[in-house]
Amino acid sequence: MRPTDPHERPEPTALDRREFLRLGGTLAAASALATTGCQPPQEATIPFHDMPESLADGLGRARFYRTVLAGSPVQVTTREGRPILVAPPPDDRSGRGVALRHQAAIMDLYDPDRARHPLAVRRGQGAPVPASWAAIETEAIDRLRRAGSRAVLLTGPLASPGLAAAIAALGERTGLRHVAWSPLAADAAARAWEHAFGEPRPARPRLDRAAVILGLGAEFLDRPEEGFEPEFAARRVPDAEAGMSRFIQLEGRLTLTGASADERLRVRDSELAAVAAGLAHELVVGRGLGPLAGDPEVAAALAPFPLATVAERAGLDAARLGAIADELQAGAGRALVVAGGSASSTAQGPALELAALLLNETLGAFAAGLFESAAAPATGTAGALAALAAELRDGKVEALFIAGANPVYDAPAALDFATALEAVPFVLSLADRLDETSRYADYLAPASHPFECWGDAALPRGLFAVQQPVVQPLHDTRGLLDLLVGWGAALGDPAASAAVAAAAAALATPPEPAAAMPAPSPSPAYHYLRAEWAARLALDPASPAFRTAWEETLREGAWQGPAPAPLPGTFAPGAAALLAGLPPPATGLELQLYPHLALGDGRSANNGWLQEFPDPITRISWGGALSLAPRRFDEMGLANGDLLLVDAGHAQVVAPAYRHAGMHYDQVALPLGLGRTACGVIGNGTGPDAWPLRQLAGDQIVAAGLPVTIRRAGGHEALAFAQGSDVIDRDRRPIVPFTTRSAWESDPRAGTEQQEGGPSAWPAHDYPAERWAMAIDLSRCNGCGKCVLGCQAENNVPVVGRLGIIEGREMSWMRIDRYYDAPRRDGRWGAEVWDGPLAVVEEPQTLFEPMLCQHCANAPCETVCPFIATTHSADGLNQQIYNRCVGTRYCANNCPFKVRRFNFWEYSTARESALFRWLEPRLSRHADLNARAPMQMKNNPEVTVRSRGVMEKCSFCIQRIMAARAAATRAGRSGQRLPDGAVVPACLEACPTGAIVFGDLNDPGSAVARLAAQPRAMRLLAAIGVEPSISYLTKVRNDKA
Amino acid sequence: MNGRRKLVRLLVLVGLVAATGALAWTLSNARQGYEPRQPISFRHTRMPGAPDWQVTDAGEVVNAGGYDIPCVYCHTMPYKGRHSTVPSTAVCMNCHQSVGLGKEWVLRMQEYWERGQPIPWVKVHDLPDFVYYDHSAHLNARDASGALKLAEHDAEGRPMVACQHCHGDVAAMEIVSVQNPFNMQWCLDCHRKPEMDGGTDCVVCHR
Repeated sequence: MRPTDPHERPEPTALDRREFLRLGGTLAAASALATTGCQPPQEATIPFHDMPESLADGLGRARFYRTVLAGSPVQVTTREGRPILVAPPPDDRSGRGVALRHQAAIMDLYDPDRARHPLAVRRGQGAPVPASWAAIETEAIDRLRRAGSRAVLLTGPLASPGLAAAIAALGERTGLRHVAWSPLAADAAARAWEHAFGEPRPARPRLDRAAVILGLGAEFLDRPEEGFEPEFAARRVPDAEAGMSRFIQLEGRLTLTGASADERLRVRDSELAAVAAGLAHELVVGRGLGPLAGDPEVAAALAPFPLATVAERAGLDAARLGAIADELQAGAGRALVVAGGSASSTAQGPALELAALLLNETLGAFAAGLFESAAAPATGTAGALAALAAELRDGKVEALFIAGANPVYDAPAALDFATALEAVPFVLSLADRLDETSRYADYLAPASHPFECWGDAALPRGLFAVQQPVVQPLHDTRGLLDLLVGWGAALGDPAASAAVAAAAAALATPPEPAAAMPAPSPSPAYHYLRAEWAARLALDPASPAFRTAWEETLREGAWQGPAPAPLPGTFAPGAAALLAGLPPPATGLELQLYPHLALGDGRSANNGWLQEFPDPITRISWGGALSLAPRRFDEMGLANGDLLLVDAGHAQVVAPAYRHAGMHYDQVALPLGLGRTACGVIGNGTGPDAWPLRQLAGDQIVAAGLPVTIRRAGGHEALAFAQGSDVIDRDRRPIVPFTTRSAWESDPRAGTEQQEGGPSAWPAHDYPAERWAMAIDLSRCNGCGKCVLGCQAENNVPVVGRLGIIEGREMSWMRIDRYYDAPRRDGRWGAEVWDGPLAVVEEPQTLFEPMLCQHCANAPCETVCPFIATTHSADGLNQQIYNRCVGTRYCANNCPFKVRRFNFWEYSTARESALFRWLEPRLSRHADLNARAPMQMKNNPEVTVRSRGVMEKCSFCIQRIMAARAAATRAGRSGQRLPDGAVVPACLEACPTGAIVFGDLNDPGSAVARLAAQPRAMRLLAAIGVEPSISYLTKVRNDKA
Repeated sequence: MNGRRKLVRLLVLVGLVAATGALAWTLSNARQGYEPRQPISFRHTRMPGAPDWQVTDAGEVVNAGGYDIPCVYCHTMPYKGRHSTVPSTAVCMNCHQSVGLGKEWVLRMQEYWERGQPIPWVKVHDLPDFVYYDHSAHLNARDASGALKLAEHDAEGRPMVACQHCHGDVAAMEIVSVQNPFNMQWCLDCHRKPEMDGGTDCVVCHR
C-alpha cells in the first residue's frame, strides 16, 4: 500500500452544508426504518444426537487428561473434545520437564499443512496424488515379506517400549532392521560413561542436592524436557532450606543456563575440555584430592594439563581458575560438575565429558549421592545412520520405512541422504507432512499426532506412562503403533494378531448405552499396549486388578515400575587416557551450532507459536542469527542484521549478524532447526539452515568447535527483535530488584531500594472480598519463557508474524524482559548504556523480568480512557472490556509498563475476499498464521477472540477466577472468599520453577500475601504511586564462594 | 435564511433524534418478545402438573392433566456447568419410543433420530457472544443465611421454578418466547439488588 503522507490534506468535499444535512437526514430516517424492522439474527442451537455419558458433569467445563508427548508427561486440557492447552502435570514425579515444543503441540495438532490423507509421492516426479491406505499397506507388507533383512525401519529416538516391542516383533518375523536417528543425540556423554564405568548409561545429576555446581558448557536449562529446572530453582533463593547453591559456568556463548550463573567465565567450546582437565590436574595431582590421587594412569593422563599452562593457553586468569578449584575442593561432597550441551558436540566432547566425570569422582559426587541412576538414552548414533546411508547407496536395502525422522533435512551433509534414497527400490515415509525426506519417497503414509493415537513411554525413575488419545484423528491418518501392529498381524505375529482381532471385534459391536465405561477401543495399538502392560504388571489382562491398574495409570499419568539399575560401578582410572588424545582446539574463529531453544531440531518448525517465541537471550523471533562477540562485532563495524557468510570449508551459510553479549571473542554461534523448506507455509524459509555446517568425523557428529571464517556477504536482513534495549542502568531505572547474597545478608531489603510512593490524588480502593495479586520470585525465574507460551495458548493470543514483530506490534500479553545490568560506577551511566558498552556486555550480568499487566491500584490507563473501557474491579483487577473499547490507545500510551497490546489487524479472520488480499497482502499471512481451518479449534472458548481495533492485555486469567468462583458456588460456598490456590493462572501453571505465585492479598495467610510482605518484595514504580498488584522478589546472585 | 429552510432543518434534527432513539430502543430490547418457530412444535404446556387420567366416551384412557416432568429432566445440567442443555434426541426418545406414536411432530422427531441427526432448534434465549453467562453460578447462589438467591417461590410465596426468574413461565407458553429484555440493564437491575449482591464488575460477565 502507498504510505500516507501526513501533510497531505484531503480534497475539499463536493458536498455543501445543505446537501450534507439533507443526505444525513435521509440516511438517519432510512436507518431508523431499517432497524425498527430488523430482527436479531436467528441462531440455531444444535443439541447432541445422543449425549455422551462422560459429559454428565456439566457442559462448558474443561476436562483434563494425562498423557505423554515425545517422552514428557503432560496434562492436556480439552473443551468439548478439542485439546486446547498443554501444561506440565501437577505433582509429576518423573523428573522430565515440559519444553516449549510440548506446550505448542496444540498448534502442531491443528496445523493446516499436515498431510490429511495418504499420498503417492512418486519420488517427487510430478505432483503427489492421493493414494489409499489399503494400497500402501498391501505394498508395505508385501515388501516387508520379500525384503527380509534388506528392509530397514528408520525412526527418531524411541521412548516407547510398546513401539520398541512391535518393531522387535516385526524384526523377528521378517528380519526388518531398526535404525534410530536423532540429530541432537548426546553421544559424547554416553561414550565417556562407557569409558569410565563400562556402561554407556549416563546418570542424572541432582542439582537440588549440590551446594556448588560447576558447569562446563552445561545447558541444563536450555533443554527443559530434561526436567532440571525445578531442582535447580529449589536452591536459587537466598533463604532456601538446604542453603543457596552457587553456580559457576564456563562457556563460550551466553546460554540460558549461563545467564543464571553466579559467576561466568568465557571459555570457548574447543578449549573447555583442556580447562576441565586443568582443574582436574590441580585437584588430583596438585592437591592430592579424592580416590584417584596417586593413581599413575590418571596422573599421566593429566600431566599435560597443569592449571597455569591451561589457563595461559585459554587466555584465562589462572588465579580465577585457582579460586574455582578452591571452591570445588571446599565443597567436596556437595559439589557437582555438569558438562554437556553444545560443547559436548565438539571433537573434544567425549574428553570434556570424561574430565567432568573425573572431577565428580574426585569431589566424591557419586559417593555422596549427587547423581541418580537413569535408563540408557534411547537415541540413535550418527555411526548407525552413516552405516545405513552407505548401505542405501550400495543398493543393500530394498525397502526403507522412515518414521519420525527427517534425514534429508538434518543428517550430516556428507551422507547426502537424498541421493542415497534414490538407490532404494521402495521408500515409505510415515511423517505428518510432506517434509524434506518424504519428497523422496514413493508414498507418504500420514502419521497421527500423539494426541490422536495410543502409545506409551518409559520415563526416568522407573516410571511408565501411557500416551492416550485426547481427540479423534482430525484427518485420515494413523498412529505409528497402529500401523506396525497391523503389519505384524498380517505377517502372522500372534500378539499383533490378537490385538487386531480385538480391535475388529470392538468395531463390530456398537457400544451399548448402559455398558461399562470406557467402550472398547477400535485401535489395534490400544489392545496391543494393554497386552504389553499386562505382561509388565504381571497381571491377567482380563482381570479387574489389571483394569484398575490401567485406569489408574491413565488417570494418574504414570505407573511406578522397578527403579532403574543402580549407578554403574567404579571409575576406571584407565579411562583418563581419553584425555591424552585430546584434539587441539581450533585455531582462530570457531563455530558453535546449538539447537534453537523453541524449535529444537526443527521438527515443529511450522508452528507459529514457536517461531514467534523470542529467544530469551537474543530476543530474536522468526529466525536466527549468527552470534558474534560484541568486541568482534564492533571491530567489524557491523550492525545487527548485516549478512555474513560463514565458511566452514565443507559448507557455507549466509546468516544475519547479531551482537551477542557474553560471547567469547573467538567463537560464533548459529542456531539449528531453522531454514526448513518443506514444513509448511508458516515455517518454510524462516532463518538460515545451519545443519550443513556440521561435520561427520568418524561416527561422531561435530557441531561445535568447528573452525570457520566469516566475512561480509553484503546486504542486510532486519531481525525480528521483541525487545528494544539490552542494558539497564538500575540507578536511573530501578525496575529490576537485584542484589548479591552478601548484600542481602546484611540488609534483606537490598536491591529493592527506590523511592516510596508519594501521596496519591486518587481515593484508595476498598477491596471488600479478595484482592487478586501475584508475586514473582526473580531468584527462581530462569527466563525460560514457558509462562509466555502458556498465556498465549490460554488467552487466544494471535501470532503477528515476522513483520508484526519488526513493527513492534506483538500481541503477547506476557513477555520476559531480558536486561544486562550496568554495574554501578561512580556517578551514573550516561546515554551510552543504550549502546551496550563493552564493559557491560562482555561479561554480562543477565536479569530476567517477566512482565505482564501489573493490575495497578492507581492504574494510569484507567484514568485516561475516554470510554471507560478499562476500569478497576472490586477484587483488584484492571478490567479491559473489548466491546466498549473503540481503540483510542490512550491507555497504552499511559501505561508505564507497556503491557497493553493493540489489535492493529484482525488476525483471527480468514479474509476470503480476493480484493482484500490484493489490497493488503499481509492479511493472507495473518490468516495463514492464525485462521486457516482447523486452526480455530485451538481457541479457548472461555476467552474472547479479539477483533481489530481493540486494546487487550493480561486479565489475571479472569476466566479461571470466574470458573473457580462458579465451582465454589456449586459446592455451596457462594459468597465466601476463595481458598488459597483455588485460582491458577496459565502462566503459573506453566512455570516449572514455582517462580510465580497468585492469590488473595487480603488473606494474610495466603502464599502471595506472605511473599508480598517479605523484605525481598518490591512493587515496580512505587515512586510514581501506581501501586501494582504484582510484587517482584529480588534476584540474588550468590557471590559467596 | 428563510422560514422554509428553518423548518427543513428542524425536521431533519427531529428526525435524527427520533432515529437515534428508535435505534437505541430497538437494540436495548432486541430480544424481548422474540418468538421463533421451531422445527418441531414442542408444547411445554403439558409438562408440569399431575397426570389426570380420564376415560373418553370411546373408552380410551387419556391423560387430561400434565406429565409432571421438571425442566431439568430435558434441559439437563444447568446446576452443573455454564450451559443448560437443549435435550439430545435420545432424551426425547426416552418417552417417545412408547408414547405419542404416530403423531405428526413425534414422527418428525423420530425421523431425526433414525437419521442420526440432531434437531436444529432455533435458539430463543440468545445472549451476545461477549457475555459469559454461567447457569450453575446463578442457580446455586446462596445468601448468608444459606437460602437460594433465585428463590423457588414468587413474591407472594407461591412455589415456582428458579428458571422462571429469567425465562418466564415457559409452561404457560404455547410457543416459547423471550419474556424479559435480556439486556445489560436488566441483568444489572438484579445484580444490584442488595440481597442479590451479584457483583457489578465488568469482568463478572465480560472477559
